Amino acid sequence: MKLLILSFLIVLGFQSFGQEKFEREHKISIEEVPQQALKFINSPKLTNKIKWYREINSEYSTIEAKTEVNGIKYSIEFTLDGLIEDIEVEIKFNKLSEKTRQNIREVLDSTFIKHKIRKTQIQYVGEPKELKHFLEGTISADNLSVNYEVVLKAKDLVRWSLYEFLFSEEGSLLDKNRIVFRNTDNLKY
Amino acid sequence: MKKCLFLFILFISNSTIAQGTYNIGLLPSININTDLSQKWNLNFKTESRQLLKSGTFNEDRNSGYEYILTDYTTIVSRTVGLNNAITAGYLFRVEGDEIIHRSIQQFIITRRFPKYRLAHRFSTDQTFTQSESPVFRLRYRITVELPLNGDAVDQKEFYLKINNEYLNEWQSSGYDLEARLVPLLGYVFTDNNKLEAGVDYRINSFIKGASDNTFWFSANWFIKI
Repeated sequence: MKLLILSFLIVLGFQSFGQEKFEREHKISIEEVPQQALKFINSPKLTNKIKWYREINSEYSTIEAKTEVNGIKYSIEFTLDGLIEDIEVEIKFNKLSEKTRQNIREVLDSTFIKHKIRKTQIQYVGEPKELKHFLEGTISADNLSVNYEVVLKAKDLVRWSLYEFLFSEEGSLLDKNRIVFRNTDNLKY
Repeated sequence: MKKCLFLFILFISNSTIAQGTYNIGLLPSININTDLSQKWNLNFKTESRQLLKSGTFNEDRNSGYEYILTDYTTIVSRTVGLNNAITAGYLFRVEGDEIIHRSIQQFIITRRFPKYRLAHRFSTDQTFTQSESPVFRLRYRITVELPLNGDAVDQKEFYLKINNEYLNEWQSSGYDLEARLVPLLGYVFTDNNKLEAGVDYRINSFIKGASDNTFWFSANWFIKI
């Protein structure tokens, strides 16, 4: 009976992480960037160098601009048509509010046997105009919605994997993906 | 990596090469991998050696084409943690009329970085034949994979792979050190189908004096089924 329950839990575990995210990120030239994305970034206040990437996931692709403003690294994500999706900034997990951290930990503790957070990013979401003003530093983050993207190494009943979890500002789970690595056979053998 | 290459260059001093012997040949291999479960993986590799030319660096004497051997290796690997693997395997070598047996144990660490991938392989093996004393080897290999297009190696893209390996070898009361440097150009057809080709340079016997130098034209096909 125990074996049956264990098998059921394992299968359930696989199903709940049916979504897998393949890590593919190419650097692209400015000519490959959609005009609308270039228009968004084109601001006299954004003078630092911008690197452009195309991120290919198992379900969709995005265009990403990486830049630095006042010593803070920003990752600006667009659709393939150049529509702004969100702005991400890396922060330390312990900078999140105590309540949010507690809620996130509860989700992770109930999902995994062990886990270790590797990276946390604030994801700013809002109207394109507001996001642009935020990037330029003319409005504060209070005008935007906030999510948290957490990358973690975690062990379920079967194995260790790398995951990407998306939480709301309060720490409620919005989305989860298991990050799938590229084949390493040619490095091992 | 820089340290390893520096050590490798130190080992290959001009004097040892000038008096040494050389072999030039072909080293094609097929590597078939399959997942037995989420943690267990099976690797089957067949590799043959064919000598095209051999001789001494300061002399004209050399030999022609000669088929040398074929290896059949089976390795079972278990993923440990996120990026590591412990493996155990068996190599069956057919060399002329002789059959050679080798047991293999490895610990492999693979690491992803934003612009390259790195693997460390710590390995021991024990070789047994009827005609010679057993050979025991302790090996370390570092492998770096660099994309030649963008920040990661994706489908239909080329990459550069460099192996640098050091092999300590004990047989009866004798000891030898072998160093290998293997630069390879790879192409990804799909994530589970890759082809690599390049030169597999091996040098040994340089501790005692005249070195043995081998230049294999290596071609490796990696398939995952």
